[in-house]
Amino acid sequence: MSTKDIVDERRRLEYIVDHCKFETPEQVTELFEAYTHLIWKYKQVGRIYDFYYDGMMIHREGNNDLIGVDQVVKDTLACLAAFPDMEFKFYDIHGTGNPEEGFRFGQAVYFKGTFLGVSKYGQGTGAAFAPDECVDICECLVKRVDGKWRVVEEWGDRSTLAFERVLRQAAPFRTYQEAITVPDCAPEPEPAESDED
Amino acid sequence: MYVADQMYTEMKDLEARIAQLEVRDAASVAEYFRLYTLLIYNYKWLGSLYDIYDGNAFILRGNGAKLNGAAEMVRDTTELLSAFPDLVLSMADIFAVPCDKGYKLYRRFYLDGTNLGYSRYGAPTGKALEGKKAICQGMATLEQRDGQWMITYEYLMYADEWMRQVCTPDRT
Repeated sequence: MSTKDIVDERRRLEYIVDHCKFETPEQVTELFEAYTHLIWKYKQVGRIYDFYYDGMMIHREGNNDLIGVDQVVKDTLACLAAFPDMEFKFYDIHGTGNPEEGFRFGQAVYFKGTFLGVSKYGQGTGAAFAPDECVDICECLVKRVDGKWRVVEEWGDRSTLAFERVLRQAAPFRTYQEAITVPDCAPEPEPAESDED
Repeated sequence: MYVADQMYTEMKDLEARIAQLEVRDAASVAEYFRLYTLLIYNYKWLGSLYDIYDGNAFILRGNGAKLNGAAEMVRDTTELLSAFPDLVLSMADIFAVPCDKGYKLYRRFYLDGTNLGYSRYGAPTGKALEGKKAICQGMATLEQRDGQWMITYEYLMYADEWMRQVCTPDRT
Protein backbone atom coordinates (compact mmCIF):
# COMPACT_ATOMS: atom_id res chain seq x y z
CA MET A 1 0.00 0.00 0.00
CA SER A 2 1.22 3.49 -0.80
CA THR A 3 1.22 6.15 1.88
CA LYS A 4 -1.82 7.69 0.23
CA ASP A 5 -3.64 4.34 0.29
CA ILE A 6 -2.79 3.94 3.97
CA VAL A 7 -4.09 7.38 4.85
CA ASP A 8 -7.23 7.00 2.69
CA GLU A 9 -8.14 3.67 4.27
CA ARG A 10 -7.40 4.99 7.74
CA ARG A 11 -9.71 7.95 7.10
CA ARG A 12 -12.45 5.60 5.90
CA LEU A 13 -12.19 3.70 9.17
CA GLU A 14 -12.08 6.93 11.18
CA TYR A 15 -15.32 8.02 9.53
CA ILE A 16 -17.06 4.81 10.59
CA VAL A 17 -15.72 5.16 14.14
CA ASP A 18 -16.66 8.83 14.44
CA HIS A 19 -20.19 8.50 13.01
CA CYS A 20 -21.70 5.42 14.63
CA LYS A 21 -25.24 6.09 15.83
CA PHE A 22 -25.40 3.17 18.29
CA GLU A 23 -28.94 2.30 17.20
CA THR A 24 -28.48 -1.39 16.27
CA PRO A 25 -26.08 -4.23 17.05
CA GLU A 26 -25.04 -4.22 13.38
CA GLN A 27 -23.90 -0.61 13.61
CA VAL A 28 -21.95 -1.38 16.78
CA THR A 29 -20.20 -4.43 15.29
CA GLU A 30 -19.32 -2.45 12.15
CA LEU A 31 -17.88 0.25 14.40
CA PHE A 32 -15.75 -2.09 16.47
CA GLU A 33 -14.42 -3.96 13.48
CA ALA A 34 -13.29 -0.64 11.98
CA TYR A 35 -12.00 0.48 15.39
CA THR A 36 -9.91 -2.67 15.80
CA HIS A 37 -8.21 -2.14 12.42
CA LEU A 38 -7.73 1.56 13.15
CA ILE A 39 -5.74 0.80 16.30
CA TRP A 40 -3.84 -2.34 15.28
CA LYS A 41 -3.24 -2.03 11.55
CA TYR A 42 -3.17 1.73 11.29
CA LYS A 43 -1.42 2.20 14.67
CA GLN A 44 -3.80 4.88 15.96
CA VAL A 45 -3.13 3.66 19.48
CA GLY A 46 -4.43 6.86 21.06
CA ARG A 47 -7.88 6.03 19.73
CA ILE A 48 -8.08 3.51 22.56
CA TYR A 49 -9.15 6.51 24.61
CA ASP A 50 -12.28 6.86 22.43
CA PHE A 51 -14.05 3.93 24.07
CA TYR A 52 -11.84 2.51 26.82
CA TYR A 53 -11.74 4.48 30.03
CA ASP A 54 -10.42 4.60 33.58
CA GLY A 55 -13.12 2.46 35.09
CA MET A 56 -12.99 -0.46 32.68
CA MET A 57 -11.36 -3.88 32.95
CA ILE A 58 -10.23 -6.51 30.47
CA HIS A 59 -10.46 -9.93 32.07
CA ARG A 60 -7.81 -12.40 30.99
CA GLU A 61 -6.98 -15.94 31.98
CA GLY A 62 -5.01 -16.49 35.15
CA ASN A 63 -6.22 -13.18 36.62
CA ASN A 64 -3.86 -11.32 34.26
CA ASP A 65 -6.46 -8.60 33.96
CA LEU A 66 -5.88 -5.14 32.52
CA ILE A 67 -7.41 -2.49 34.77
CA GLY A 68 -8.04 0.93 33.32
CA VAL A 69 -7.29 2.51 29.97
CA ASP A 70 -3.61 3.20 30.66
CA GLN A 71 -2.89 -0.50 31.07
CA VAL A 72 -4.75 -1.20 27.83
CA VAL A 73 -2.60 1.37 26.02
CA LYS A 74 0.60 -0.05 27.56
CA ASP A 75 -0.33 -3.61 26.60
CA THR A 76 -1.16 -2.58 23.03
CA LEU A 77 2.06 -0.64 22.60
CA ALA A 78 4.11 -3.57 23.90
CA CYS A 79 2.48 -5.90 21.40
CA LEU A 80 3.02 -3.49 18.50
CA ALA A 81 6.63 -2.92 19.56
CA ALA A 82 7.26 -6.65 19.23
CA PHE A 83 5.17 -7.11 16.08
CA PRO A 84 5.35 -3.84 14.10
CA ASP A 85 3.42 -5.36 11.16
CA MET A 86 0.69 -6.72 13.45
CA GLU A 87 -2.87 -6.81 12.22
CA PHE A 88 -6.02 -8.56 13.27
CA LYS A 89 -7.76 -10.68 10.66
CA PHE A 90 -11.42 -11.12 11.41
CA TYR A 91 -13.04 -14.51 11.39
CA ASP A 92 -16.36 -13.24 12.74
CA ILE A 93 -18.09 -10.61 14.83
CA HIS A 94 -21.68 -10.56 15.99
CA GLY A 95 -23.61 -8.77 18.70
CA THR A 96 -26.89 -8.09 20.43
CA GLY A 97 -28.47 -5.30 22.45
CA ASN A 98 -30.19 -1.96 22.16
CA PRO A 99 -29.52 1.72 22.88
CA GLU A 100 -31.31 1.62 26.25
CA GLU A 101 -29.54 -1.35 27.85
CA GLY A 102 -26.33 -1.30 25.87
CA PHE A 103 -24.73 -3.77 23.51
CA ARG A 104 -22.50 -6.77 23.73
CA PHE A 105 -20.64 -8.44 20.96
CA GLY A 106 -18.26 -11.33 20.45
CA GLN A 107 -15.42 -11.24 17.98
CA ALA A 108 -13.11 -13.98 16.76
CA VAL A 109 -9.89 -12.89 15.08
CA TYR A 110 -6.40 -14.12 14.44
CA PHE A 111 -3.16 -12.22 14.80
CA LYS A 112 -0.93 -11.91 11.78
CA GLY A 113 2.48 -10.53 12.60
CA THR A 114 6.23 -10.97 12.53
CA PHE A 115 8.47 -10.64 15.55
CA LEU A 116 10.69 -7.87 14.23
CA GLY A 117 10.86 -5.50 17.18
CA VAL A 118 11.56 -5.91 20.85
CA SER A 119 9.84 -7.86 23.61
CA LYS A 120 10.48 -8.88 27.20
CA TYR A 121 12.57 -11.79 25.89
CA GLY A 122 14.82 -9.80 23.60
CA GLN A 123 15.21 -8.65 20.02
CA GLY A 124 13.04 -9.80 17.15
CA THR A 125 14.27 -12.54 14.87
CA GLY A 126 11.64 -12.58 12.14
CA ALA A 127 9.72 -15.46 13.74
CA ALA A 128 6.03 -15.42 12.78
CA PHE A 129 2.78 -17.10 13.67
CA ALA A 130 1.65 -20.04 11.57
CA PRO A 131 -1.65 -19.52 9.69
CA ASP A 132 -4.62 -19.69 12.08
CA GLU A 133 -2.28 -20.26 15.04
CA CYS A 134 -2.88 -17.11 17.03
CA VAL A 135 -6.65 -17.10 17.51
CA ASP A 136 -8.16 -14.51 19.82
CA ILE A 137 -11.77 -14.30 21.01
CA CYS A 138 -13.25 -11.52 23.08
CA GLU A 139 -16.57 -10.23 24.28
CA CYS A 140 -17.14 -6.53 24.88
CA LEU A 141 -19.88 -4.90 26.89
CA VAL A 142 -20.64 -1.44 25.51
CA LYS A 143 -22.77 0.97 27.54
CA ARG A 144 -23.43 4.66 27.83
CA VAL A 145 -21.49 5.97 30.85
CA ASP A 146 -21.55 9.63 31.81
CA GLY A 147 -23.02 10.61 28.46
CA LYS A 148 -20.54 8.68 26.30
CA TRP A 149 -20.57 5.20 24.78
CA ARG A 150 -17.79 3.15 26.32
CA VAL A 151 -16.44 -0.38 26.57
CA VAL A 152 -17.18 -0.97 30.24
CA GLU A 153 -15.93 -4.54 30.43
CA GLU A 154 -14.17 -7.02 28.20
CA TRP A 155 -13.26 -10.69 28.42
CA GLY A 156 -10.41 -11.91 26.27
CA ASP A 157 -8.90 -15.26 25.38
CA ARG A 158 -5.60 -14.94 23.59
CA SER A 159 -3.40 -17.71 22.16
CA THR A 160 -0.81 -17.07 24.83
CA LEU A 161 1.14 -20.23 24.09
CA ALA A 162 1.52 -19.15 20.46
CA PHE A 163 2.83 -15.78 21.59
CA GLU A 164 5.32 -17.50 23.89
CA ARG A 165 6.44 -19.80 21.09
CA VAL A 166 7.22 -16.91 18.78
CA LEU A 167 8.61 -14.45 21.32
CA ARG A 168 10.95 -17.00 22.90
CA GLN A 169 12.77 -17.20 19.58
CA ALA A 170 14.22 -13.80 20.47
CA ALA A 171 17.84 -12.80 20.05
CA PRO A 172 19.57 -11.46 23.17
CA PHE A 173 19.14 -7.82 23.99
CA ARG A 174 22.02 -5.74 22.75
CA THR A 175 24.42 -4.69 25.47
CA TYR A 176 24.67 -1.01 26.28
CA GLN A 177 28.06 -0.88 24.55
CA GLU A 178 26.63 -2.42 21.39
CA ALA A 179 23.73 -0.03 21.44
CA ILE A 180 25.89 3.08 21.65
CA THR A 181 28.67 1.98 19.30
CA VAL A 182 28.49 3.75 15.95
CA PRO A 183 29.40 1.41 13.08
CA ASP A 184 32.73 2.17 11.44
CA CYS A 185 31.84 4.29 8.39
CA ALA A 186 35.38 4.59 7.00
CA PRO A 187 35.61 3.63 3.31
CA GLU A 188 37.01 0.23 2.48
CA PRO A 189 40.74 0.50 1.56
CA GLU A 190 41.48 -0.06 -2.10
CA PRO A 191 42.80 -3.55 -2.79
CA ALA A 192 46.60 -3.62 -3.09
CA GLU A 193 48.03 -4.16 -6.59
CA SER A 194 49.17 -7.72 -7.22
CA ASP A 195 53.00 -8.28 -7.20
CA GLU A 196 52.56 -10.74 -10.05
CA ASP A 197 51.65 -8.06 -12.62
CA MET B 1 -29.03 -37.19 50.05
CA TYR B 2 -26.23 -39.04 48.30
CA VAL B 3 -24.13 -36.99 45.91
CA ALA B 4 -24.91 -39.50 43.17
CA ASP B 5 -28.65 -39.01 43.69
CA GLN B 6 -28.24 -35.24 43.61
CA MET B 7 -26.29 -35.49 40.34
CA TYR B 8 -28.89 -37.85 38.91
CA THR B 9 -31.76 -35.53 39.77
CA GLU B 10 -30.01 -32.50 38.31
CA MET B 11 -28.92 -34.14 35.07
CA LYS B 12 -32.31 -35.72 34.43
CA ASP B 13 -33.86 -32.33 35.03
CA LEU B 14 -31.58 -30.83 32.37
CA GLU B 15 -32.44 -33.66 30.00
CA ALA B 16 -36.17 -33.05 30.53
CA ARG B 17 -35.85 -29.32 30.02
CA ILE B 18 -34.02 -29.89 26.73
CA ALA B 19 -36.72 -32.31 25.56
CA GLN B 20 -39.51 -29.88 26.47
CA LEU B 21 -37.87 -26.78 25.01
CA GLU B 22 -39.51 -25.37 21.91
CA VAL B 23 -36.58 -24.10 19.88
CA ARG B 24 -37.97 -21.43 17.62
CA ASP B 25 -36.01 -18.21 18.01
CA ALA B 26 -32.66 -16.78 19.07
CA ALA B 27 -33.47 -16.84 22.78
CA SER B 28 -34.63 -20.46 22.77
CA VAL B 29 -31.66 -21.52 20.61
CA ALA B 30 -29.32 -19.98 23.16
CA GLU B 31 -31.16 -21.71 26.01
CA TYR B 32 -30.95 -25.04 24.15
CA PHE B 33 -27.18 -24.79 23.85
CA ARG B 34 -26.85 -23.50 27.43
CA LEU B 35 -28.63 -26.57 28.78
CA TYR B 36 -26.60 -28.94 26.60
CA THR B 37 -23.31 -27.26 27.61
CA LEU B 38 -24.11 -27.77 31.30
CA LEU B 39 -25.20 -31.36 30.73
CA ILE B 40 -22.07 -32.27 28.80
CA TYR B 41 -19.43 -30.59 30.96
CA ASN B 42 -20.97 -30.80 34.45
CA TYR B 43 -22.56 -34.22 34.18
CA LYS B 44 -20.05 -35.80 31.79
CA TRP B 45 -22.64 -36.59 29.11
CA LEU B 46 -19.83 -36.63 26.55
CA GLY B 47 -21.94 -38.62 24.11
CA SER B 48 -24.32 -35.66 23.93
CA LEU B 49 -21.67 -33.74 22.05
CA TYR B 50 -22.99 -35.66 19.06
CA ASP B 51 -26.36 -33.99 19.67
CA ILE B 52 -24.93 -30.54 19.10
CA TYR B 53 -21.82 -30.96 16.94
CA ASP B 54 -22.18 -31.95 13.31
CA GLY B 55 -20.20 -34.99 12.19
CA ASN B 56 -18.18 -32.74 9.91
CA ALA B 57 -17.95 -29.76 12.25
CA PHE B 58 -14.71 -27.79 12.18
CA ILE B 59 -13.54 -26.40 15.51
CA LEU B 60 -10.62 -24.03 15.54
CA ARG B 61 -9.03 -23.96 18.95
CA GLY B 62 -6.40 -21.47 20.10
CA ASN B 63 -2.68 -21.92 19.67
CA GLY B 64 -2.98 -23.73 16.35
CA ALA B 65 -5.11 -26.65 17.44
CA LYS B 66 -7.91 -27.84 15.16
CA LEU B 67 -10.61 -30.44 15.62
CA ASN B 68 -12.37 -32.08 12.70
CA GLY B 69 -15.79 -33.48 13.44
CA ALA B 70 -17.84 -34.30 16.51
CA ALA B 71 -15.71 -37.36 17.30
CA GLU B 72 -12.56 -35.27 17.77
CA MET B 73 -14.53 -32.85 19.92
CA VAL B 74 -15.57 -35.80 22.08
CA ARG B 75 -11.95 -36.92 22.37
CA ASP B 76 -10.75 -33.43 23.24
CA THR B 77 -13.47 -32.89 25.86
CA THR B 78 -12.85 -36.31 27.35
CA GLU B 79 -9.20 -35.38 27.82
CA LEU B 80 -10.27 -32.21 29.62
CA LEU B 81 -12.70 -34.01 31.92
CA SER B 82 -10.19 -36.77 32.63
CA ALA B 83 -7.64 -34.18 33.75
CA PHE B 84 -10.31 -32.37 35.83
CA PRO B 85 -12.84 -35.02 36.84
CA ASP B 86 -14.58 -32.66 39.28
CA LEU B 87 -14.99 -30.00 36.60
CA VAL B 88 -17.79 -27.46 37.06
CA LEU B 89 -18.65 -25.14 34.18
CA SER B 90 -20.33 -21.83 34.99
CA MET B 91 -22.00 -20.18 32.05
CA ALA B 92 -21.35 -16.44 32.25
CA ASP B 93 -22.96 -15.29 29.00
CA ILE B 94 -24.65 -16.82 25.98
CA PHE B 95 -26.55 -15.29 23.09
CA ALA B 96 -27.59 -16.17 19.56
CA VAL B 97 -28.26 -13.95 16.57
CA PRO B 98 -29.83 -14.98 13.26
CA CYS B 99 -27.60 -15.27 10.20
CA ASP B 100 -27.97 -16.53 6.65
CA LYS B 101 -27.04 -20.11 7.60
CA GLY B 102 -29.15 -20.20 10.77
CA TYR B 103 -27.68 -18.64 13.89
CA LYS B 104 -24.42 -17.38 15.30
CA LEU B 105 -23.89 -18.44 18.90
CA TYR B 106 -21.59 -16.80 21.46
CA ARG B 107 -20.71 -18.53 24.75
CA ARG B 108 -18.50 -17.44 27.63
CA PHE B 109 -17.94 -19.72 30.58
CA TYR B 110 -15.57 -20.37 33.47
CA LEU B 111 -14.14 -23.68 34.55
CA ASP B 112 -13.60 -24.79 38.13
CA GLY B 113 -11.96 -28.06 38.96
CA THR B 114 -8.88 -29.82 40.30
CA ASN B 115 -6.16 -31.47 38.27
CA LEU B 116 -6.70 -34.96 39.59
CA GLY B 117 -6.06 -36.94 36.41
CA TYR B 118 -3.28 -37.16 33.83
CA SER B 119 -3.20 -34.45 31.21
CA ARG B 120 -1.05 -33.76 28.15
CA TYR B 121 1.38 -32.09 30.58
CA GLY B 122 1.88 -35.14 32.78
CA ALA B 123 0.89 -36.45 36.17
CA PRO B 124 -1.87 -34.71 38.16
CA THR B 125 -0.74 -31.78 40.30
CA GLY B 126 -3.75 -31.32 42.59
CA LYS B 127 -3.87 -27.64 41.64
CA ALA B 128 -7.18 -25.88 40.95
CA LEU B 129 -8.49 -23.91 37.98
CA GLU B 130 -10.10 -21.32 40.26
CA GLY B 131 -13.07 -20.35 38.14
CA LYS B 132 -12.61 -16.83 36.81
CA LYS B 133 -8.96 -17.45 36.05
CA ALA B 134 -10.12 -19.97 33.44
CA ILE B 135 -12.06 -17.80 31.00
CA CYS B 136 -13.31 -19.77 28.00
CA GLN B 137 -15.18 -18.46 24.97
CA GLY B 138 -16.72 -19.87 21.83
CA MET B 139 -18.27 -18.41 18.68
CA ALA B 140 -20.17 -20.90 16.57
CA THR B 141 -22.22 -21.13 13.41
CA LEU B 142 -25.40 -23.15 13.88
CA GLU B 143 -27.20 -24.90 11.05
CA GLN B 144 -30.12 -27.30 11.01
CA ARG B 145 -29.36 -30.92 10.31
CA ASP B 146 -32.39 -33.23 10.19
CA GLY B 147 -34.40 -30.70 12.15
CA GLN B 148 -31.77 -30.29 14.89
CA TRP B 149 -29.61 -27.23 15.47
CA MET B 150 -25.97 -28.24 15.26
CA ILE B 151 -22.62 -26.51 15.47
CA THR B 152 -20.98 -26.76 12.06
CA TYR B 153 -18.13 -24.31 12.63
CA GLU B 154 -16.68 -22.94 15.84
CA TYR B 155 -13.87 -20.85 17.23
CA LEU B 156 -13.41 -22.25 20.74
CA MET B 157 -10.80 -21.11 23.21
CA TYR B 158 -10.08 -22.46 26.63
CA ALA B 159 -7.64 -20.71 29.00
CA ASP B 160 -4.80 -22.81 27.59
CA GLU B 161 -1.87 -21.07 29.24
CA TRP B 162 -3.54 -21.01 32.66
CA MET B 163 -4.47 -24.66 32.30
CA ARG B 164 -0.87 -25.46 31.42
CA GLN B 165 0.24 -23.76 34.64
CA VAL B 166 -2.34 -25.67 36.67
CA CYS B 167 -1.29 -28.98 35.12
CA THR B 168 2.42 -28.33 35.60
CA PRO B 169 4.10 -28.80 38.98
CA ASP B 170 5.42 -25.67 40.66
CA ARG B 171 9.20 -25.37 40.46
CA THR B 172 10.79 -26.05 43.86
